[in-house]
Amino acid sequence: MAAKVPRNFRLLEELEKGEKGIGDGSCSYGLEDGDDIMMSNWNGTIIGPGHTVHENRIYSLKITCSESYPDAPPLVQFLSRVNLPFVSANGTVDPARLHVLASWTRASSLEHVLVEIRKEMASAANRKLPQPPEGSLFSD
Amino acid sequence: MSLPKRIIKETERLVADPAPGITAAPHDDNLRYFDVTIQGPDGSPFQQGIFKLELFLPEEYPMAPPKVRFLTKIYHPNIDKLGRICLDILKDKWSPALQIRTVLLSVQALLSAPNPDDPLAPDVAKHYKEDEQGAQRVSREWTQQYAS
Amino acid sequence: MHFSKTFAQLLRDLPPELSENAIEYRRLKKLLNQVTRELAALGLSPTVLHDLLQSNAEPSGKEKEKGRDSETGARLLYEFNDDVGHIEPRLRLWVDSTDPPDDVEGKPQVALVAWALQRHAEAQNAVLNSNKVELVIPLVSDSAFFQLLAATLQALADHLIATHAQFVETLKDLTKVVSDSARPVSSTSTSFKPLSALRSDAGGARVSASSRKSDLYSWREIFQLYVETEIFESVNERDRGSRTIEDAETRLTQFAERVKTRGLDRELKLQQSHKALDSFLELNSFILNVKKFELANAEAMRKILKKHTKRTALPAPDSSNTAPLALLPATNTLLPRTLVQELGTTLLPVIPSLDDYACLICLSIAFKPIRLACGHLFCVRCLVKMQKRGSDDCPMCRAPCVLIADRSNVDWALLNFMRDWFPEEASIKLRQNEREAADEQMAELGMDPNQRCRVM
Repeated sequence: MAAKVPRNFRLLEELEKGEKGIGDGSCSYGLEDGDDIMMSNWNGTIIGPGHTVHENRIYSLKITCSESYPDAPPLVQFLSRVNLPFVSANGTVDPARLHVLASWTRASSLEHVLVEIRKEMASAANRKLPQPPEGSLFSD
Repeated sequence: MSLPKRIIKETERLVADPAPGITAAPHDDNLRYFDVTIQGPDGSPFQQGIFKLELFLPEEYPMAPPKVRFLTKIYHPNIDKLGRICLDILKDKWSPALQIRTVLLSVQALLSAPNPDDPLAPDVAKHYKEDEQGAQRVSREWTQQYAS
Repeated sequence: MHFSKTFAQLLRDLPPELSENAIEYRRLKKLLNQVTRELAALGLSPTVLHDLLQSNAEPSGKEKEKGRDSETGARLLYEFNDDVGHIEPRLRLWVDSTDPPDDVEGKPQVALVAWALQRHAEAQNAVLNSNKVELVIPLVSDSAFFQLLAATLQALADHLIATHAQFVETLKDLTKVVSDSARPVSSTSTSFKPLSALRSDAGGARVSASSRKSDLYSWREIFQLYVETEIFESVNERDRGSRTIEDAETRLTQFAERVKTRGLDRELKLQQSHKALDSFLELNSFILNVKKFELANAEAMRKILKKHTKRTALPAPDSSNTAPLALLPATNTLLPRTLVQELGTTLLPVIPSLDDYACLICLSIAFKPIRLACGHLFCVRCLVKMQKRGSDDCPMCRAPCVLIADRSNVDWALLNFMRDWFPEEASIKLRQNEREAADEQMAELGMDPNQRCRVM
């Protein structure tokens, strides 16, 4: 059995990766509060994929990592209003309807979640869904 | 693969013969993951504080260094808000002949000898450089507030 | 309980060759009674002596300084004369002869004694020093007391030296027996072939555990258990140093029991080994007895000197008054420690300990041993791992000599020594190394070593 990286050190790794910047910069994440020693609350940002209704939109998300992360998946919630089949009326992402959350393993990461959500936005089924006004929030 | 002999030996000694002012105990469900406490060294602004840390031995240990982090808030130029530590032996100066015990003793020594020229917390380092006494006062206050 | 009883009881538990040489506490106590009587006859009751010595001590610190007289006009000094080759305590008294003693107010008793002494002195060997009288009063019983103390201490010291010599002899014999019964394979077997860089199959370095009669492994386990039990001294960070007698006694019993419960005594194949184990345990009991004996004597010495001060008011030999102590023969209070050290440096190294041949990285036996250019030693497996990571610095001294190391860095002499003295450990380590290397190769090829292909 390989060494099992504990939650906090795993989140530190993810934080460092996030700070360096991932991929082409269309997805990013960081701690909501730089003082949060337990690293529970995170902010995510997705830049809407081009050639879709999401083009040029910037979506904010809130990600919460529980005590049992990464054995259990994070809670993901859109702050920016969006119309997607796996996002509920209050912005919560339904873990059963997003593959990366439904089939979560220790190898999955916050980066995977954001990248997959962005991929979903560009999928044939979702790329043309009507969207709420740009910049509106679920809390409005 | 089971736990390497080296880790078993180190753990046995840490528990049976702890270094003064330092405790380290492995988690029952992860023998590479340790709960650590370090007593603030006498004569430092961290005196009488008991600081909690966590330590993890990655798969490549001892070829790669252990990962160590403070869980108790601490006002120190080489320790950031998330408890991450700037210490050369935890990075490029790591040697596989070093052990958990020596690492923790080095962390304890870092509390006695802050190094504001190699900062991880730039604001704290600036404070330490410009007004050492004032900075030490804050370190003492934090020690009282968070580490006792 | 009176100390004399406690002391007698302590000695009763010790072997006669020790107890017969103990400090003669009872005789010293009897002599002390005579000292008290002698001083009383001189009119020097403890109270009087106390006052005289007190007033002497106050104005001028130096003992021999004949400075200002005290208010009583008399000064008294308790001193030890060793010109005669043995300790002779005496009192030296200075009295201002012009000072009529009854002038001294408030201390009539002191004056009286001084006067009496002065008259006594005039009749004898008093030295007239201007208008002062200086007189010396030898203390006969006190001399007897200190001479007896000195004599017993001398006898004690001599006895301990003899004891030490005897211990060393026994230890030497025991060491010989143990080293004979724990000889490694190569000493008698012809099958042991030393390896060298010149032999074609040298890289293989096979190890075969021999079935020849040797108690090497039993002795190693016994000694390791012995070292771990830390009977006489702790090497722990918290309680480093000598252990108390009670603690040492418990640990010695524990050690003997563990040897039994682990069956180490039964595992010894050779007759001579069994005898040697008994002798080893006896030597340790003996050290414990010496420890008890020394503590009892030190306590007796402390008690009798304390009693001496209390009964007579004469200042005890202590840190501020070391004169008499310096005259007394010194006893080696570190003998138990010396004996433990001798055991540790003579007998125990007969069996090489694995800890001395461990790789500082994996903490297992450093097999096959690689000696870097800087002189530091590691096992070949850890060295290869470092090389794969591209780390060039020696883990011990940071000298850049890891990457240039190759087969020429194998320490052949040590390799043969290890095959010889640690055949089992070396063979286990070799198998481990091979398995680890194979797993690593699989992983490098992108296969999970835990999911091996099975031939049904």
